[in-house]
Amino acid sequence: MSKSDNPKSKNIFEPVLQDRLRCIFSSSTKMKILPVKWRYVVAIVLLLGLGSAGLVFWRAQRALRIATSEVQSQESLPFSVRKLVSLNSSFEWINAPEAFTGGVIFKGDFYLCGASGLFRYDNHGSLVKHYRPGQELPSTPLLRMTTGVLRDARKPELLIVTGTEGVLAFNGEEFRQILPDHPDARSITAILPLGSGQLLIGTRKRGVLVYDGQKLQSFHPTLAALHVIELAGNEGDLWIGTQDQGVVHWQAGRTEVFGEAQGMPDPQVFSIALTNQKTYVGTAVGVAEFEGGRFARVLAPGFFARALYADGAKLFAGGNEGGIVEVNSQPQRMQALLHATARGVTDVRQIFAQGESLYAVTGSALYQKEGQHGGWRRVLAPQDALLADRNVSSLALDSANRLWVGYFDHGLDVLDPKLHGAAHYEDDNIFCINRILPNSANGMIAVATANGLVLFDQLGRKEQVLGRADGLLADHVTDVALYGSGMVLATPAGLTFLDDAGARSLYAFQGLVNNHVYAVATSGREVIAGTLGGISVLDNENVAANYTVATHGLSHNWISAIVRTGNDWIIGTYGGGIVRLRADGHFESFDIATAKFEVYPNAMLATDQHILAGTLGKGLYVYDKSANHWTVMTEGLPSLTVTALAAGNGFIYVGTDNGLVRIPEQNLP
Amino acid sequence: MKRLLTLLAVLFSLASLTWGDAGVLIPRDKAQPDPAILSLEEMEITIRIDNSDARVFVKQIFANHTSGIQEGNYVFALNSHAVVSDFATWDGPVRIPAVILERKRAEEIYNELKQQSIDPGLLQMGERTASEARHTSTFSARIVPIPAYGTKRLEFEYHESIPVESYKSYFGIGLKPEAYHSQTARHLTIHFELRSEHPIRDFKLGSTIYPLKITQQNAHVVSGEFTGENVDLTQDFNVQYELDQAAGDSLHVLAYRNPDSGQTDPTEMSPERSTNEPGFAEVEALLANKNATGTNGTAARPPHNVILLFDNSLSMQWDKLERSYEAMQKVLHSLAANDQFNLVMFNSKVTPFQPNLSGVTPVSLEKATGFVRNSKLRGGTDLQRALEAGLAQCAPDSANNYLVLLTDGSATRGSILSGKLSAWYQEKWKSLPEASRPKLFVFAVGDDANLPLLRMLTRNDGLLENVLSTEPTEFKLNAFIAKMNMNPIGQLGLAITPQSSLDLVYPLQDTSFAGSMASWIGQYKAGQKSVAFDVHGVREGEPFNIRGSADLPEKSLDHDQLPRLWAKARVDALLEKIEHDGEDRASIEEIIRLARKYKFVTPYTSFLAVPRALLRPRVIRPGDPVLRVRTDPSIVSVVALFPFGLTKPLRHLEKEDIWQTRFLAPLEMEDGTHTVRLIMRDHNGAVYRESKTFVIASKPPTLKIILARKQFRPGGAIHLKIQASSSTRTLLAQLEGAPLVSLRWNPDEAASTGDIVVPNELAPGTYRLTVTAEDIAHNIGAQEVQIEVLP
Repeated sequence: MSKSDNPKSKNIFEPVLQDRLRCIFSSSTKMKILPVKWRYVVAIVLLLGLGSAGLVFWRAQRALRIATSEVQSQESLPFSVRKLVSLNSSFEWINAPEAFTGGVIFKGDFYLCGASGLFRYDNHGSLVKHYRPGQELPSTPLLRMTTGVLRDARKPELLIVTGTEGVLAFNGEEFRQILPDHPDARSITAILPLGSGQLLIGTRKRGVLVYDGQKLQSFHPTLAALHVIELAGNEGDLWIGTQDQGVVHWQAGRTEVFGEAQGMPDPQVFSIALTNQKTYVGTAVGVAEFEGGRFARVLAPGFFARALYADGAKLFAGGNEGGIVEVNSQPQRMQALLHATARGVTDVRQIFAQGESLYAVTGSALYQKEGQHGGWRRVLAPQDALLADRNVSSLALDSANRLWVGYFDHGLDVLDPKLHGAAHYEDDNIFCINRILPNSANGMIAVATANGLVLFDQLGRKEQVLGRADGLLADHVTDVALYGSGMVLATPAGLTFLDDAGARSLYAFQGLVNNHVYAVATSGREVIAGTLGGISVLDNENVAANYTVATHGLSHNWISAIVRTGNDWIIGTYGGGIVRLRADGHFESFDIATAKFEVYPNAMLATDQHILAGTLGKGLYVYDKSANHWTVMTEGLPSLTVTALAAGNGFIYVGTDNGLVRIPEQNLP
Repeated sequence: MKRLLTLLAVLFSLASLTWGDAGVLIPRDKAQPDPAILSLEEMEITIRIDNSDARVFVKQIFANHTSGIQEGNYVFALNSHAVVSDFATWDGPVRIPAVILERKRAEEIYNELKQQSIDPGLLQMGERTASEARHTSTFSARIVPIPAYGTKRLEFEYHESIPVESYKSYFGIGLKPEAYHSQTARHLTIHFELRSEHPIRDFKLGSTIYPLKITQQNAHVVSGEFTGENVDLTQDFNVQYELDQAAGDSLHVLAYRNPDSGQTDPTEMSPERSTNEPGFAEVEALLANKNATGTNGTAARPPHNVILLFDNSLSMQWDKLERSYEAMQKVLHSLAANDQFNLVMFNSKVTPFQPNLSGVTPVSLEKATGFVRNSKLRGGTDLQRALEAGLAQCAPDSANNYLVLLTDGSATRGSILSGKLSAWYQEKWKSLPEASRPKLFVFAVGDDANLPLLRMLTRNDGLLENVLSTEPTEFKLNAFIAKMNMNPIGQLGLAITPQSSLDLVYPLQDTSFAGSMASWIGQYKAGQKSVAFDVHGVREGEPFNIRGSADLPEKSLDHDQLPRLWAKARVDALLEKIEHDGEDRASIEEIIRLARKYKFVTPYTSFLAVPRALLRPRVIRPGDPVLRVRTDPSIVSVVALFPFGLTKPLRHLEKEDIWQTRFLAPLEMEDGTHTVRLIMRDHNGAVYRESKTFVIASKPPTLKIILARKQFRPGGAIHLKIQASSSTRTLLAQLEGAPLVSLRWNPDEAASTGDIVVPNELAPGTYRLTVTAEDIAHNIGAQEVQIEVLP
C-alpha cells in the first residue's frame, strides 16, 4: 500500500535538511527551477500523462459501474458503525514493548500504531497521546493504518485495521468503529480508501469487500474467494496481494492472476508498491516487477520484502532481517543493483514518504532516511519497556513477591516487587514458557517449558534443566504441580512424577485416559490430569478413574486448565467452557461459564473469593464464590485472549497475548 | 557418477506411520497417496523363491495427472527378514540406480547435495527425538521430478530369508496400504516362482484377490502368474507351504560360481576384473521332528519355570512397550497349569513381581498383568542386573528353566558394552549347574533393537526373535512361544570332508529346532567333486547325523543369491567380532567392500542417493504447538510462513542444533495435515524455500463394538467387529483373564475384526470387554461392553 503520492521524478525535489527543519517530518515540497528546454519536455510528458490518465479514468469508471452492478445482486453484509467511548477501567497496564505495525502523518501529527495501541506524536517527536486497547480502543492489536476520506464522513480520517474489531476511523478527536457482524468479514488484513469515498477492505476469508457508508459487500465476484494480504491501486486498476495465489490484477473488470507459473518468485505476497507504469510486488524471496500490467522480472532475488516503497526509478524494500535495501530498477539494467542502506534496521513493517522525507516503521522504532544518499536515522523510539514481550503465557508471584512473567516464545522476566525493574532470562531452554511454579517450602521456582523443566533457586538463579535424558517422558513440559516432596509434570506423552526417588512415568499404557496431558493439579496424594481426551484422576500415582464426554456432565474432552476449590475441582476445557468436578465424581455445569469457548491452557486461578479463567478471545471469566455467579470481563483488557493469571499483594495479574495488566481483586465483580 | 549422485539417492528412515505399505508414492505435502495427483498405473511384482531365499523385484509406474512437476515420497515397508538389494528410478530412458557408499563419503555427498537443495527435517515435539527418528524399518526415497502429465518408473528389489518352522514356510508382501487405507493399481502383474530342493506340499495362496494362474506345480516347483486391471490392493499377497516331513533329516547343497567377475562396478574405488572369482555353497538340512504330534510340536512337556524379564525403561515408550506387553501376555497365557513363573520389571531399577517362582493360576496371571500395567517407566536400562535377577530365580534342580527377555536391548546402566555384557552373562550362565542353566528366549522389539548384543546373549542355549515396527507381531510371537515348548537342537554343527573344500562357513540361523531348516553357507576357491557333508547335533537328548555329498561346480549360475547371502553372513560375523574385540581396520575395510559389492547397508555404509531428508507427516501438539526444524549447518535464518497468514522467525537452539518456534493454532485449523512454508537463508545469502507438513490430531479415535451376541461359554470364541474412525492406527481388545488381541481390517466385513477365546478357566459371570483404539498422535479412544460367561 506504499503508493507514492507524487508521480513525478524524484530528482525535481531537494532533500530536506534536518538541521534546518529541526523536526522529524515535513510536508515541505520545494521545487527546483528547471532549465527552459526541460520545461517543454516535462509539459509534453504531463499532457500525455493527463490524456492517458483521463482515458484510464473513464475506463475505470465504466468498469466500476459494471462491477458495482454485478455485486448489487449480492447480499449486503451486516455491519454496524458506532462511536467508541473511552472506558474508565480498573486495569493498570504494566509497560510492555510497543510492537509497531504502521505509521502515518495526519493533520500535522505523527501517528504510529501497533499491538499496544495508537501513539500520537507532535512534529518534534513528543508523545501527545496514547490510545490503548481496552481503554480508548477495542481490545485488539492495530495492524495497519492509512488516511482517507470516506463517504460517510466526508472529512479526512485516520483509517486503522484492527486484529478482530473491524476498521477504526479517527478524525483526530473521536473514533468510529466500522464492524462487520460476521467474524470472517472481520478478519481484515488490508484497506484501501478510494477517491470515490468507498473503502476497499481485504480479508482472509471474504476476499475484497467494499464499504460505502451504506453497505458492506463483496467488491467483485472474482475477488471474493481470495485470502488477501495487500491492496494497492484505485477503482479501475487494482492490485491484490494474496496469501497463496500470488498477485491478482483487476483492471476494468478483468481479473488476471500472476502466480509462480507467471513469474512470481513466490505465491505469498507481503507488499505492493506502485509507480506510474510499474508495480512492485514484495514476497519472501524477492520482488516481482510488473510493467504496464505485465510481469517483467524479479528484483532483489532472495530478499524478504515485507515492505516496499517505490518512487520513480527508486525502490526501497524492507525486510525481517536484511535491513532496508535500495534497488536500482532502471529497466536497461539486466541485473538490478541492490545496496543495503540500513542493515541494522530489522523487522521493517512499512516504508512511506511524507513530502521529501522517507520513513520506515519497524517493530520498535521509526526511522527517517537522511537525504538522498544518507543512511537511516532513528527518530522516534518509545521509552524502555519493563517487560520483554507482550505475549504472556505464564505468571506467578514468588515468596519474595517478585512477579515472574513467562512468555509464549521469548523467555521470562522476573520483576521486582515494586515493578520498577526486571531481569530477563532467555536461552535454549528458557524459551517457550508453559507454567511457573514457586515452591514456598524451599523457595525454588520450577519453570515448565517446551524444552525441559528449568529449576531456579530462591535467588532467581538457574540451577538445573531436566529433560528426557533425566527420565522425563518428554522434554516438553506442559504443566507442573507440587506433589508430595516433589512434583508431577504434565507432558504431551504422559505424566512424570519427580522426587528424591527419581523420575517415574506413566501414560495411556498404564491407564491414563490420553497421552497428551495439558494440565495437572494435585491435592494430597490425589492428582488430576487434564488431557486431550478427558480427565484422569490418580490416587497414589495410580489411575483411579477416567472421565470423558461419555461421563454425564463433562462437556468437552480436551481439558486445558484445572484448579482446586474446597473439595471440588474446577475444570477448564478447550471448547466447552468450565465445569465443576465434585469430590463424588459428578460433574456440574455452570450458568454462563459452561458454554462453547476455550479456556486458555493453564489460565485458571482460584483465590479465596474468586475463580478466574482466561479464554481464547472471550475475555476473563470471573466467578464470585460468595454470590455463586460468573461474570465475563472484556473491558479494560489489552486483548480478549487471556493467557495467564496470578494473584498477590491484593492484585490479580492478568496476562494476555497483548500485554500484562493488573487489577485490585476487590475491584473484580 | 556425479550426475548419478545429484539426481538420485536412497535412504532408510523411520516411517512409524507406514504400517505395511508396500510401494506407495505420496505427493509432496500430502499425508497419503492421492490418485488425482499421482496414480499407480502399473505394478509388476516378480517373486522368485529359491529354497530359503526370496527375491522380490517390484516395478512400478506412477502417472502425474497435474500440469505441474510433482515430487513424491516413495515408501516401502520391510519386515525384519528383508534386506534391500536395489533401487532405481528412471529419468526418461535412463535408469538411475542407487549406490552403496562408505558412510563417511556418503555423508559428505549428502551434505554437498543439501547445499544445493536444502530439505530440513521437521521434528515432532515431545514423543520422539532426532536420533530415534533416524532408526528405520521402512525404505523411503524422495522422487523428483515427476513430469507434468508424465510418468515415473521406479524399481525396487529386496531379498528375504524364509524360515521353516515345524516344516511350514510363509511368505508375504504387504500390498495393502494399512496407513493409507487404499491404493489401486491400474495394471497389476505378479510373477511367482517357488523352487525347493526339499519336496514341498500343501501349497496355499493366502490372498483371494490375486488368484495365481498356476502354470507348473510339482514337488519341487510352483509357478504361476496373476494379471489384473484396476485392482484395489485391499489384501496382502501371501503364500504358505509345507516341506514334506518324509524328507526330514535330509540335506541338499546349493552352489553358485561365476569365475569371471564381469564388468566391474563403476563405483568401485579400484575396479579390477577377475577371472578366478570364488564359488559359494549353501548346505540346507531339514531337521526331522521325531516327536511331532501334529503340526505345531505341542507334545506333552515337562513343567517349565519361566522368568519373564520385562523392560519398562523410557526407551521402550510407545510401540515397543505395547508389543512387549502383548508378548508377555501371550507367554503368560501359554503357560500350563503345572508351570511356575515370575516376572521381573527392569529399567534403572529391578523390581520382581513376587519374591520367588509360583504356580500359574488365572488370579496370579491377572495380578502379574496388573503389576506391569501399574508400573511406571523410568530412565535407564540395567540389563545386567535384570539378567542377574533372572538367573537367581532359576530353580536349582530343574532342567526346564526359561528366561524370557522382552526388551530393545539398549543397556545404559551396569555393563553396557555388548562384548563385556555377553561375556559376563556367559560366565554367570556357565557357573550354574549344567542341568539348571536356563534357556534365554529373547523377543526383541523395535527398529533400533540392539540385535548384536541380544544375539550374543542367546548363544548360550537361547533363541532370538525380533519384530520391527512395520511387522505384525502375531506370526513371530506364535513361533516364539511354540519354540518354548521345544528344545533347540544342541551342539549343532557341520563337518565337511575334505575340510578345505569350503572355507569361511557361517550358520544362517542362530538357533534351530526339530522341524526347521538348518543351513550354512561357505565359500570355495575351485570346483571339487564329491564333497561330503555331515550335519550333526543332539535332538531331544539323542545325537543324530544327516549326511550327504555334492559336487562343488567349477561354474554354475544357478542360485545367484548365494554370493550375497554369504557376504551378508560374513559381514555379520565381522560385526560380531568388532562387538567383542573392538574395531580393526581390516574388518572395516572388508565390511565396506562386501557391502558395496553386494549392495546392503551396514553400520559402515549407507545406501544413499536421495539428496534430501524426507519429511513425513509429523504429529504436533494441538493448541499451541511447537515447530522444530533441523537444517543444514549453513543456514543462518529460518522464517515460517503459516497458511493462516502468520509469519514467524524461528530461533536456533545451539545445543540441539534445532530451529524452533511456537504458534497458536487458530480455532478454524481443523484436524488433519497442514502445510507450513519455510524460508531459509544460508551464510552466503542464498535463500531456499521448503514446504513442510505437520499433522494436528486433537480428537481421539472413536469406535463402536459390534457383537452378534453377548453370552458365551468358556472355550468359545467372541467374534469382534469394530467400526473405528479413519485416524485409528491400532485396535486392541482385551477380555479380563484373556490375552490381548490385535484387531485387523477385514474388507469382507468392512470392519476391523478379531476373535477372543474365552479362557476355559473363566468362572461364569459378567466380564468387561474393552477395545482400545490409538491414532498416530497416540490419542486413545476406548469402548467397553459387558459380556456374560455362561456355565
